[in-house]
Amino acid sequence: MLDSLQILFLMDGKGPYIWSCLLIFMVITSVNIIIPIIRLNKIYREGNLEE
Amino acid sequence: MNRVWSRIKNWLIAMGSPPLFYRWATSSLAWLALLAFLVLSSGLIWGIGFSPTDYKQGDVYRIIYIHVPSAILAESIYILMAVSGFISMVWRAKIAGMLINSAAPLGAGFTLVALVTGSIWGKPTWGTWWVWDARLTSTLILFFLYAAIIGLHSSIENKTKADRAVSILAVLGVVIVPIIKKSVDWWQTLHQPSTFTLTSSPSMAPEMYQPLLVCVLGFYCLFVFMLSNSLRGEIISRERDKAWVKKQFFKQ
Repeated sequence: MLDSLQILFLMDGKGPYIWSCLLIFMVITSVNIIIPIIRLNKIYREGNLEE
Repeated sequence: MNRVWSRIKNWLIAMGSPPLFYRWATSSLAWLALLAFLVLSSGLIWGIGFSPTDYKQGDVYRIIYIHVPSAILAESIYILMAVSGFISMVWRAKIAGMLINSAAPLGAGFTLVALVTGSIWGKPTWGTWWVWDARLTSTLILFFLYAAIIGLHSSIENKTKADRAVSILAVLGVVIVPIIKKSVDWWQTLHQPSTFTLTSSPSMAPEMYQPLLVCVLGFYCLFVFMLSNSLRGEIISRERDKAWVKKQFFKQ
């Protein structure tokens, strides 16, 4: 089990390239998902204070 | 068939109304997120974990499951923005301008992912992080176009005027998409030929190609979710003084 996980992680020495790509994709996508949610919450808070 | 088409047409027309779109997006956001997560995670697990190793490149080719869908999305989003720009200019549909403003950061994000993952892929295969090759340079220009649209929209205070300005830029800038697509045929490039073509069968083995198709589908699902999420904020931000927003959004 641990061996196969290690093989998957290392991928013949190319693992860091592949996993860093996945990480970069996840970070950029998360930022693009979170920013609109924060923006919407901010409008909601400001709007309710004005009401 | 005509009935189905007219239903789709009516739904699209209805989605042109900000309150109706907001209601639809709010009710379907969780489902869109779930669908995107399921399709994308199965594609990535299949591709990165279970597809066979390439005889030439070894395991590093697995970057394709992130790089190619990101590049496809980067171009598709720009085409969508150009179509929206045209609709905004001709029919003055408010939602079209909002869509451009919401889609631009997403497009820039996918273009950045395509550029960075391409660069990471280039190091072990070409021996360099970057070359001023036609495909890479034209994709970098696409990224700058996205940045220009975001910058232009935020620099104009009047949102109607800002929509008009970015619509013109989106329509004019769409010329970059066929240049990116054809760059590997028109110029001698280090970049490999297109993975997806409509005219010929794929050069990859089906075991490698099938998970890629699932990944592309997953990326499209992810984009629909992200766009709906982003467009909700844009609609509320612009229509905050309207009665329907006060009634539906505030003091819920």
